[in-house]
Amino acid sequence: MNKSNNISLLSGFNAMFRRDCLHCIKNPSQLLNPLIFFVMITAAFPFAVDSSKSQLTQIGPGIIWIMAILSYLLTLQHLYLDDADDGCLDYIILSPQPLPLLVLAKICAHWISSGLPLIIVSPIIGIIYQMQVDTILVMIATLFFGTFALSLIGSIGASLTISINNSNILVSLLVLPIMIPILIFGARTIGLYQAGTTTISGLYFMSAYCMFALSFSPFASAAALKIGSE
Amino acid sequence: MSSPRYFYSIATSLIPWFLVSGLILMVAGLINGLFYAPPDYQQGDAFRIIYVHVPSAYISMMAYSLMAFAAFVALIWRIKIAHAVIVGAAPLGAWFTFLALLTGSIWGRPMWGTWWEWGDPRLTSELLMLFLYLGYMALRASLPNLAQADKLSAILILIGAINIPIIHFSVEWWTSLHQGPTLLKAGGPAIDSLMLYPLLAMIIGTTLYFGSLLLVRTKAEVLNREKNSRWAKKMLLGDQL
Amino acid sequence: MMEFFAMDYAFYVYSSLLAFLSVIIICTKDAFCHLSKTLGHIKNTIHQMESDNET
Repeated sequence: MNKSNNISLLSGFNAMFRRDCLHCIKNPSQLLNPLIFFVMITAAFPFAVDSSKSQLTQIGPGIIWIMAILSYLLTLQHLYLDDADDGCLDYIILSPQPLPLLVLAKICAHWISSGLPLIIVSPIIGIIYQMQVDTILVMIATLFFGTFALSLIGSIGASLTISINNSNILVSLLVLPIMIPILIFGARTIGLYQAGTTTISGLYFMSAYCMFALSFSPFASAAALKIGSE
Repeated sequence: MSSPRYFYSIATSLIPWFLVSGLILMVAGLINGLFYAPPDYQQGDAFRIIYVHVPSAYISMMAYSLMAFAAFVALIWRIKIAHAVIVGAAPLGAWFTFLALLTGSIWGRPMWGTWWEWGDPRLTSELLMLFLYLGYMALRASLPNLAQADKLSAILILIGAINIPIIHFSVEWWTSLHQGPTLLKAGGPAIDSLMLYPLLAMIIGTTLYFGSLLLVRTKAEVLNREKNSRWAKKMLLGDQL
Repeated sequence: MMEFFAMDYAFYVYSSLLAFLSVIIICTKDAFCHLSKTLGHIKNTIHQMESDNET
């Protein structure tokens, strides 16, 4: 068989991943706006509450995690809707490559464009909230697993609402209850570390949840995309 | 059961039986629970809220499990009735979840001294359950195409269902850090039979009642979906032809 | 048997009972209204189609 007709799974994944990453680099506002939103709102919180050091260290992990989820929800509309609007999505669905794999590539690219920048700026927020360096490291670890799980769960919500106009709030309604475990474990693990108790079980849970979401999210998203674009 | 026409006739004959037996059991359970059961040695008469709280919490869980089962059946075997069952069960489940939250909070007031206690994992996960119901109904309401709405919302139900144990576990882990009051652990194995039987009657009665309303709603939904079929027209106009 | 209002926490017990009964009534009414509305609606559309066919 001709080699060009027989593209391997990995190269299909790579092509999709590269394309989405490039798309994101060419539209930096898509990447930057949620990030600026995240930084600005987290920085605005101390104005609204008592900004003493003890208070900030107490509420910091929760605020950072809530804001991470909120700014994440803002990015979800670009995950599939842009492709659906310009018709690329139909070609992606029709392609001979397995759709869950391509969806996974899109999810990974989404994590690179939304999760990774969040992790990169999070130390600044940690400093604003009076965190110690080791606490910041724990926060980065929770954000690492947590944002990937958010990408996976968010992909389901975005794919379910692909045929709906103005679905931004709806997506949040759908995925927020499912994201609650990530919020609980993400924020609590940092809080527990600050209180000096064990944290490793929280990180174990988050990585396990990540793997679990990885096992069903690409398939559910692929099925929803197929149904939604009929 | 999978033929809509057959389902319709079965449902029509079952509804009054379910409704009447459910209501009788509920009335009997309530009267016995409120007036004949002895007061709890710790909570006094406040424990009597159990007779409305536990059945509603049970129905809210059962309705979601039923919806998840129906979603599974609908997606795997493409049985159309199952979609109608999900549509019928969702508002009922949401109402009973709301009721479980409301009565739980009313119970919490005399027992914990507060209307809402984040330390109780059951109340908190029940709140998240309500969000799942609302999310399902919001998705359903914003999809105009019936076939699409059916399949997409079934996927959402299944995703919610596999996440419910995780949500419950994480909420429990989170509340174990608070050490909140756990007075709601009423009963246990040594519950008085005078307390237990009304509770069982309430649970079974509410389930039967839920079943009858589910059949009514599913019947309406099936009819709406089959309005262009011959049997539906024949049956609807039968009394006028 | 107990007196109706003699139990302690009567307010809480009866307000939760009231909530339960109102939800039961709302659900019942809602379900049956929904069914009869659907029936009426479909009958109407069938009649409409028949009268359209005649003309």
